[in-house]
Amino acid sequence: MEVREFVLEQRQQQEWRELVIVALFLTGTGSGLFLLSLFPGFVPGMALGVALVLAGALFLFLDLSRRLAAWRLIARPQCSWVSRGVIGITSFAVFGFFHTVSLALQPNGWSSLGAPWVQGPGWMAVLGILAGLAAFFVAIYPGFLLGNMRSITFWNSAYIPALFLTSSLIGGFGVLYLLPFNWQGLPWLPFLKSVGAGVVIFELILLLGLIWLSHPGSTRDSVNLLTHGSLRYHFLIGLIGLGLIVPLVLLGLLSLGMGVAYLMVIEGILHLSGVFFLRYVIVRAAVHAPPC
Amino acid sequence: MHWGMAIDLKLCIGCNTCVVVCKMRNGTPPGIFWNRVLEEEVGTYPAARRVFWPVRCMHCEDPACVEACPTGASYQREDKIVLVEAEKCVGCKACILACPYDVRSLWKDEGGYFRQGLTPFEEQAYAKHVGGAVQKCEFCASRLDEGLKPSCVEACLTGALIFGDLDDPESEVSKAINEPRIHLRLREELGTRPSIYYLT
Repeated sequence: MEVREFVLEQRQQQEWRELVIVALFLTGTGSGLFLLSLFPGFVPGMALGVALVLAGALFLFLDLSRRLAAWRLIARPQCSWVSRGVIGITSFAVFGFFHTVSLALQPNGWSSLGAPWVQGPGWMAVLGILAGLAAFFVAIYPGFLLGNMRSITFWNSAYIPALFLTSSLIGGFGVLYLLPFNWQGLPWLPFLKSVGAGVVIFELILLLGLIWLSHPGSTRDSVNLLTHGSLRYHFLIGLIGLGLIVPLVLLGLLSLGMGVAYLMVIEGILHLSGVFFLRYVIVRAAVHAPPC
Repeated sequence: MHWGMAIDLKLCIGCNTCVVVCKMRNGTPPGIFWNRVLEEEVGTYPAARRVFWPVRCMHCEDPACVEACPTGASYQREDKIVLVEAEKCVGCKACILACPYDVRSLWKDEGGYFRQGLTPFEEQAYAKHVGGAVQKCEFCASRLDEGLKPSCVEACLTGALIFGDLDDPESEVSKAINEPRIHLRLREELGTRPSIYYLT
């Protein structure tokens, strides 16, 4: 039982907690991984992406308190971002699964050196495009879901959807680095590294914008939680330090060709920790302003 | 028809009678209050004083909770009363987060007030609620349908709660908000257009 004083004060949101944060982490990472794997036609990455999004959907399901009524979640896509998200995740699971399977069943086998779906039959290209669009939606929609909550001004920011999208791509890079795969022979590895570094820098810029351009009131209180309050270690060390700056340094070392194999594993783990901490701090820093 | 309320802050003495009578009539479970009287300290010594803000669902004309609800469990009647159809609620808590007034609660069905199990009153009262669903003030919709006023309005000792049809210029509530006094609605900047006015 939650005991609340009848005092006029702001309140840190307690409704969406660990289960939702893990769900956002898994769906974001899975959709980012799928997007990154889609263009080169990297079937293991696509399959793992679909699996991660489904695992995230499971955590969202577990967060419901009346799970037997969960089918009703798709009832109001015309106004509710929760409904839109559920439909997006379901569409992604269907399109992503069939596209991955159809690629895996190609007579010549999948190739990581090109994008076989653009050379295959037309229906496969359509399926790939639909799966890609659904993955993009799954990566970005949490930002709109949170941004649509009028009561929490910290979330009403254009930075939030962009942060979720870039962070999902970083999560995708993280998983790619962790996959036991011989990366050295890939022609797109240098491209992957430079794009990865660019996305990390872009997320850093977005985060600085979110912090510095926050308005007074409850948004400022949320930012204070991140920079000086109970979430400062998660934000400054977990997200900015370990999640973004250290991986940037490691990417620099990787581009110099130093210790590629084990550095890529560390890079992958740090990327994923950054993805998790971004979602943790954004969800937990939400503050309900006092109503009066 | 547009049911609404005016709350005269000068008359509210913070006695919490409205809170208790709401709890009794609606049989709300432990930790759940459909209305609350929030306290605020204003001014500095020796001119410090407390202001009481009775807060309940604002039954907004443009309710953020209804917009956020993915199942249609939260809905608005033609008379602007916002209700929750508990059987349709999945407990996703989106409406709790969307509400700017922090007046919605999720009942997890964790028993009653006493360790020995539910009292006969609790057994009867909690049967009206659905475990795992969100609940909130209903403006006593069932009493209104019977031609009665909400319980809190009826019980208010000082007459600080004024209830009626905002569309009727002759109603008590319309006259109250048309008096030459300052009146405000909470967090109007969010565009929810609450049906509760505060007279200062």
